[in-house]
Amino acid sequence: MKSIITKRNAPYFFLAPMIILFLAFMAYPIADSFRLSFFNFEGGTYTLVGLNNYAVMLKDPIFWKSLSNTVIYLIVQVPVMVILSLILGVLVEQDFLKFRACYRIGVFLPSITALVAYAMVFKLLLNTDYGIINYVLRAAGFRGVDWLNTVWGARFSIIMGITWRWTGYNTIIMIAGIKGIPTELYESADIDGASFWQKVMGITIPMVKPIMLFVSITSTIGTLQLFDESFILTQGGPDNATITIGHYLYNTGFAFFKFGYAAALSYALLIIIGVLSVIQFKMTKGGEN
Amino acid sequence: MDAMKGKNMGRKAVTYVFLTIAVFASLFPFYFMFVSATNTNAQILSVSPKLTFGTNLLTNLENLNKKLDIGRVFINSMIMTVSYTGLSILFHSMAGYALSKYEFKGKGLMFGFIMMTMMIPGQVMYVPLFTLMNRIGWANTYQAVVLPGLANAFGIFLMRQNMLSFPASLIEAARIDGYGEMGIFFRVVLPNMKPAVGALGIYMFMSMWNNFMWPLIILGTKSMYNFPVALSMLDGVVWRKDYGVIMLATSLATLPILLIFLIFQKQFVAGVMGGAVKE
Amino acid sequence: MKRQMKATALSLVMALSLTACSGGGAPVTKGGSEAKGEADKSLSGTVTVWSWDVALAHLQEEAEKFNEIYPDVEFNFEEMGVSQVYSKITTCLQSGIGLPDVVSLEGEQMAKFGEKFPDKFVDFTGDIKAEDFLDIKISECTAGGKVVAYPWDAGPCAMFYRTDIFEQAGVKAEDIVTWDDFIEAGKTIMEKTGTAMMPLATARKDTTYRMLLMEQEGFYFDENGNTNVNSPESIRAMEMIHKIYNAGITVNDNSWDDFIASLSGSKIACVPEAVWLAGSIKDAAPDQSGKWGVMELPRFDKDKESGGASNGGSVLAVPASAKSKEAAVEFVKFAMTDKEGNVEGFTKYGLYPSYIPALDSEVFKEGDEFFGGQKIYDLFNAVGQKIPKCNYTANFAEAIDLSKNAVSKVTLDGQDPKTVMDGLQEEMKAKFGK
Repeated sequence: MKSIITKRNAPYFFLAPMIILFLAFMAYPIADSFRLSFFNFEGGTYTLVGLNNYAVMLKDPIFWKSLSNTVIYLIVQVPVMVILSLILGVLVEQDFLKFRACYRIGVFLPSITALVAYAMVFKLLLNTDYGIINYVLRAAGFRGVDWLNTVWGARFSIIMGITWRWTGYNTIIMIAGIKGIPTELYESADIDGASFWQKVMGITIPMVKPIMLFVSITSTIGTLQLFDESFILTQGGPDNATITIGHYLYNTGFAFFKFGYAAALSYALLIIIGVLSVIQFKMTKGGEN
Repeated sequence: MDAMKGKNMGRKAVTYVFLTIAVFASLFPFYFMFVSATNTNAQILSVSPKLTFGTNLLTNLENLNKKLDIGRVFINSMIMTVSYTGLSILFHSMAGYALSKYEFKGKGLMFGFIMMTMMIPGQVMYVPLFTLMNRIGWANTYQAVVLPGLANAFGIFLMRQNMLSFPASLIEAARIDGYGEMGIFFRVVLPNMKPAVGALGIYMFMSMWNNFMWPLIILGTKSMYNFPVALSMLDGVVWRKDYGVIMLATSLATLPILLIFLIFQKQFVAGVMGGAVKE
Repeated sequence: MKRQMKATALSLVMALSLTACSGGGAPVTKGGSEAKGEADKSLSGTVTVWSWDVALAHLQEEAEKFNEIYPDVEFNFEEMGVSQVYSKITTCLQSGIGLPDVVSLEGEQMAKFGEKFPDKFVDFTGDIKAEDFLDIKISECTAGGKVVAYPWDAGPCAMFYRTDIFEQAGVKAEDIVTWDDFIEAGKTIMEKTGTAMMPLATARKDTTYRMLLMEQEGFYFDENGNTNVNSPESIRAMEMIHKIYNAGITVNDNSWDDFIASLSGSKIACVPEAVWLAGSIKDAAPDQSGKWGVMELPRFDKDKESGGASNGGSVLAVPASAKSKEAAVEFVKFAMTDKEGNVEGFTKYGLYPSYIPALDSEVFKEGDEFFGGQKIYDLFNAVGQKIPKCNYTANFAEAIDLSKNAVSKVTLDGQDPKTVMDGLQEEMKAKFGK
């Protein structure tokens, strides 16, 4: 009795479901998205407009604003988070620490919450008149900040939100990196009488550099696709100060029905992320050498 | 020696203070969410917000159920998340197995292709997928949410990496024992992959439970909403927003995942690390 | 969204305050059609209706009346939120599957659906007596030159003000004719009572700007649908926003909750808003009864009477592929031209009608105790009739969004209104292609 599945054809059987899924829900939409980006949806039908959508996009202030918002997050939020997660990782991995698991879990917990859920909690915490954050500020003698309704207040709110949600997650990755450092390095440093700081600066940081880079780039890619926070917490405002490409794409396609333009925006996003991924690939390869 | 000790003490103190602050900052929003779920809207929106548990939980629950069938939302979320996780474990390990333990034509190409898709953001596909789903009548269905998400290279990659180190001799031995190819996979390989499967499962569970943008686009009716979409709808009401009700709904959305996290901590952490440190 | 909030609020208040005025007991229910004698068997089928809140409740009552004439028509009501209706109808219009027979939409959004999905809605152009409805609502229902929906409730705007605070500051409402007068009065009030003159959203919406624009008979688009936001009227409106904001007489209106809080906390002396706000005030601040009045919106020029402004209100449409199209069309006509029904919708649910014959009802001529016995609806009636027609176009929803940003630029960043509006003109032209 022989099965039709042999050693030769087995891999194709194993791969079949994924191939079908990829073709239907990845290859087809990507191709179709490219096609749609040359059309406009008007009067119930698609009309060919050539490169017009891309031309409009290059002149579209909101598109550029969404990119510059991402750059702001990138410059401010990513370094803060990477450094914070490195510090946490280093501190948690110290030998003397008691209840290590508790700290680790505590810090990691934010990253299991739904983005929508935490954005809603933050919205309340950041409320101008009734939020706890302003309550504390006022109690300490400061003036309350109009967090969600001013340009920098709103940006800072998003930055705070993302930092809260992802620092623990990245800390875990850092810890993995720190644990992977050969202990002999530290032992020989100890023999040389190196201080804690010298060991951190001289061994830990250089050794986890590739991880830091990985975290930075994945965080950047994540920021480009940010949607939930912008949608719930600030609605992209004020004056699009916090809108991201993902959010703008949603508005364009699914609130204004400009499917062609949304497709063009999505291709811009694809290209930007593609470039970043190549950079990441090149740099992490470099880090290993 | 004393100076050394003093310095160590100082470092210890700084460490504990810093970590305590970090943990407090991480946990406070959770505490606030749960507390607010038991308070009234007026208590939450007062100049000095109430930070202790109140007695309004049942009223909030009642009001929540008036606005939204929260049981139904739970069931929707469960159906989508469980089926997604199950199918992911099955399909992704199968694909990962093929890519790690077989030699066949086009393997390199296929692996390269899969790796490339990892960088493609889902948002690129939403417009055509939306049109496609409408055309085939899948709009507002579970499969419209579950299936496109499965076209996900991360799971395949994770399983492949973990299976690379599975001893080929065991597979050969199974072949000699007369196992078919399918039998080898399901009865020999997969049972030995429990840690990796656990990590993958948790990762997938979490990402589907928290999935928002695509369900928001494709799920049209109240009766199909998952938790994030339902939450956003509660929040989207302009008139008479009741934050007690909203925080209760948020708590209910968070509790299951919190519970699962506390049970499967190890796999969670493995899932996170699996994405990062493998190569 | 607007509809949803006002509707719930009004239901309660109106039920209490106005049924009392209408002479006791529920108004007699009579269908719009007087042909009540015999049951008409010509129509049948099941009509599925998507609607929300009190609008849904009102339609259910209309359906009962309708059934007295057409007993063979069955109804299936599905309650959905505003945003749910939008996301679902978008999906359904694309796929053509699962459309209802009757759907309520916000009037201002109708043109978008009508133009993006032409021929997907029943054309009422030949049927509807346009002169029976407020012009502005007919504008809302018009897409691509066709009337694709029936107008329902309207949102004529006026200035709500606190008579007690005015008195305390020694300001007289009748002295406020122009916006400049208004600003001066605002400064006096601010000085004497510490109360802000009005709420002004710096980021959330552009309603005040739009009111100022419509008052001057201007709009985002001209009659051909071309962008027209750097017209002299539009620049003037935005300059006035700039002026009001810089006078320091406003409180920020960040969310509906904030707004209600400042209203009930007596932190604002005036609110420029549509008729439905009356119910919201009564609901949010019952203790302020007798302390409110309503006047026309201030003008730009002392000697030139202004056009009216409108904000909010819904319409009723029938998808062209409706399964029970005939019955649905008949029902929509019946419900929207039911004079008594329209009055009842107002007394019970606060749906201020756009059907002119209904506005003749005694109900709208009574004084309102909450407003110190003032006959406020006379004023709203007069405003409603003079609101100029607007061309909403498919791009209205996006235009609101962009113009909201312009308001932020002028208020938060203090940019020059003319420069901002010129920039907005360029941006809209690029995006809308016209």
